[in-house]
Amino acid sequence: MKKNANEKFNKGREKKTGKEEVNEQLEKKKLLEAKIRKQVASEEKAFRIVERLIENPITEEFLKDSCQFIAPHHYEDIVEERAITKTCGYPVCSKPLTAVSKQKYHISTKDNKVYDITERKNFCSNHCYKASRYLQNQLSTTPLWSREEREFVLVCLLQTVDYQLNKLDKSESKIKSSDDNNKEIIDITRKTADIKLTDKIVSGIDCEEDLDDEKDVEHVCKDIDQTKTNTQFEGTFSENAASDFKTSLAQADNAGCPPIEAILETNSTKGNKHSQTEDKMQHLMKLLDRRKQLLAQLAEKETVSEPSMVQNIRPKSQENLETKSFCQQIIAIDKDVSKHIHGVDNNVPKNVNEVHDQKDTNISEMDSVGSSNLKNVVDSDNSKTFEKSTTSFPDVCKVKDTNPKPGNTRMPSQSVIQLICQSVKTWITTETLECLQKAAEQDQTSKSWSKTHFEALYQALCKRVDAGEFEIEDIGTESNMDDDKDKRLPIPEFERLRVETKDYANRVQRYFAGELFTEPKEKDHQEKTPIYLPTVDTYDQMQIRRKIVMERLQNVMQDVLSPLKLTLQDVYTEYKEMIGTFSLNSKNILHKPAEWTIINLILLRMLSRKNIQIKKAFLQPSSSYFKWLGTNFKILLDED
Amino acid sequence: MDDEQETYKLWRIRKTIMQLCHDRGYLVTQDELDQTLDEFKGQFGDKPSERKPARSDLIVLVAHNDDPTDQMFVFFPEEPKVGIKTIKTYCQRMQEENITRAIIVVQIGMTPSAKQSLTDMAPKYILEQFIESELLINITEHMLVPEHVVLTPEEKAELLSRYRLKESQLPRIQQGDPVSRYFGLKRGQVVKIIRNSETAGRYVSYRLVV
Repeated sequence: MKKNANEKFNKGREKKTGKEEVNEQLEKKKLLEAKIRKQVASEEKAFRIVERLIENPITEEFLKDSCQFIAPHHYEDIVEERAITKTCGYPVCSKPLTAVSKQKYHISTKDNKVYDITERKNFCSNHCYKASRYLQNQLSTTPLWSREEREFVLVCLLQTVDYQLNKLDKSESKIKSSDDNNKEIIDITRKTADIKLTDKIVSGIDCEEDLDDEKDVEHVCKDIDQTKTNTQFEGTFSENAASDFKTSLAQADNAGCPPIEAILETNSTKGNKHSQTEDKMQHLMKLLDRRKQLLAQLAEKETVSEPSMVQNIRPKSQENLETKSFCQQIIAIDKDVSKHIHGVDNNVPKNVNEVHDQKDTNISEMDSVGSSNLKNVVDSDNSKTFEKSTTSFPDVCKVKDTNPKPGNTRMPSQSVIQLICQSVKTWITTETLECLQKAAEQDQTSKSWSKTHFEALYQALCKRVDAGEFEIEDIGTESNMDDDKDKRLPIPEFERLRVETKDYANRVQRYFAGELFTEPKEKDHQEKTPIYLPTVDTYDQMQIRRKIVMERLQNVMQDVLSPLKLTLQDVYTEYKEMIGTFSLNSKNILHKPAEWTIINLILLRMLSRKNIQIKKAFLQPSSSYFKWLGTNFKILLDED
Repeated sequence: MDDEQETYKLWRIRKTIMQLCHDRGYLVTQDELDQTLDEFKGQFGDKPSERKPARSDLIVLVAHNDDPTDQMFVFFPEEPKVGIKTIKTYCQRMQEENITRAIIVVQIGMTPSAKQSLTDMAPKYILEQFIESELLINITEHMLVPEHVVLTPEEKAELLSRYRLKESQLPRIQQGDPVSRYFGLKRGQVVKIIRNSETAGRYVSYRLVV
């Protein structure tokens, strides 16, 4: 009996577990079904969006919103579909596609490259293509169904000019609101809020490069007015905020243009535009006024903030931020008024970093841009703040020293340099040397070229013209005919001629008889060698490597160029030419950023053989900071 | 491409389409099946580059032998790559004329979203796509392709009861198989495949479309 009962009990338990299993399976099935349904639904939604985006009038907001529901391949589809219906592939653009070329490749004679234009053909203009690529690169590749609601992808579009103007207006209103804020708040904690606001402004004015000049000027003037009012109402704090506006402005100037060309050039170009559009004198007067104002404010700030510098680090760093922005303004004006000299301010970025460490992730954006601006700070005669900058050159070198192996001083860094030298040596080809030497020779002869060579050429030309005239005269006059005959070769003997013609006739006969087979054989030989077509440039390894090297060098270019007091334009074309002659491979182009700086220096040194301007730059006193590298250069250059 | 070649191509494609319609059981006259190249030129013209014939002129509308209301369109889109828009217009036309089946003969291909839109309309409107190069020859006439006969639902039921089979016990053929695309087969239909055999003379097998 007991056994039976036990068995029954066990059976019951088994049944129970069986039921549970069934239940579990059902639940799993339901979950799976729900999951699959969700996947299908998300795909469906993406498809609807694709369908919608093909239809023409599309607002930017809608495009932005829909970007989070589609994957890159959907976007490709949109572009293609739009191109099929003869509208521009970029959803926001509603222009029709007209006159699509039949070519598959475009050969650019300007930069000697072959471009595959199959994708470009789907767009009405280069701008649309660029904007479309820009958008496509931002789309996330995570599967549609695994995207959570929270995972909101912020997509920004490449702006058109009109749109920028609208945004600018908005940002101005924002500035006003933040100004109001300033009046209410005199507290450190709320300063961060201010910075947030300005951050928004930064993002607002982000793509300002193409702006109308007048607008820009207005904007600047408003800024200055604000700083004035702020200084009147409150002490340093509001000034802080005001200076933040300025950094934002400077950033806006800086954003969009390549990092090295930097603020100075944009400002200078702007200056040029002004001079074209406005009355020059008026403009200059304005600028001078602005400069005066800024300098005055700068002086004020110096006096106000020095005591606080002693108390703690934070105000100091902020003060630096201010001075930085002021300096930038002054630079801009200086550049417009007259030419001047570069320098590096290295103290400020350190402090900026300290601020960054303290908190405020919001600042980080500003910092990264701001610190790059800092490197452009100009060593001008009329501001006190630059006393700091004079100590800065060795710092750069030290950073280079310590980066590869921190903690040690001379020996290890030298070994690193030697390694670099070796890798640079592997780059150098005979072409490089030719390139450098040819240029050097040209330089040497260039002075003599200027006068004597052209005279010689001119004389040669005169002689040739004279000779031509003589010949015509010779033909005209019969009396000279006999002389001419004497000069020509003597007439061959009749016998020899007969033998030759006979020989030739024989050969012709043999050829037609089929005995002579010399020519076809040669042809066979030619056909055997295969024909290699050159690669398309976008896939050419060498081109890609050159691009990489050029990029890396540009990143560190400013560090090296500013102490030498050179600008990028001075060296760029020759740099590119020289890099074109290098033999780069996958291994010898891998270096750390600090190493790139040294390589940059070495290359500059090499170029100094070719370019007199660079040579002069190395003779300047400021270049003495690079002298510790000198011995290594000598080794390298000797081995050239 | 020169006109001569293009005309020849169009003639071949149209001929294959006619045979396809015939094999599917649609009503096609013997004249249309036997149309020669010269007759084709006479009917449509011989300058495709000057839209003589334009591809839209080639559109075919055929009715089924058994049920004249069951009609099928064959579209020839002008553009090399077909997008959603074209599909939409075709769909509208089908709605207007109350026709549920159509074949689209594309020149190069379709965009992925256009293909998706075809499957979206699947239960109500059946749209099939062929690429022109697929239709240059009639694959069922090839010596290595055995004869396929599509079974009616009654024949299928009889087959299953006769051999006491379940559907799943039959050998299978894919819906994307070139021959099943040629016949426009749907999932669950059965084809009878008749091969020549050295030992048995004729070897018959049945395949279920999956």
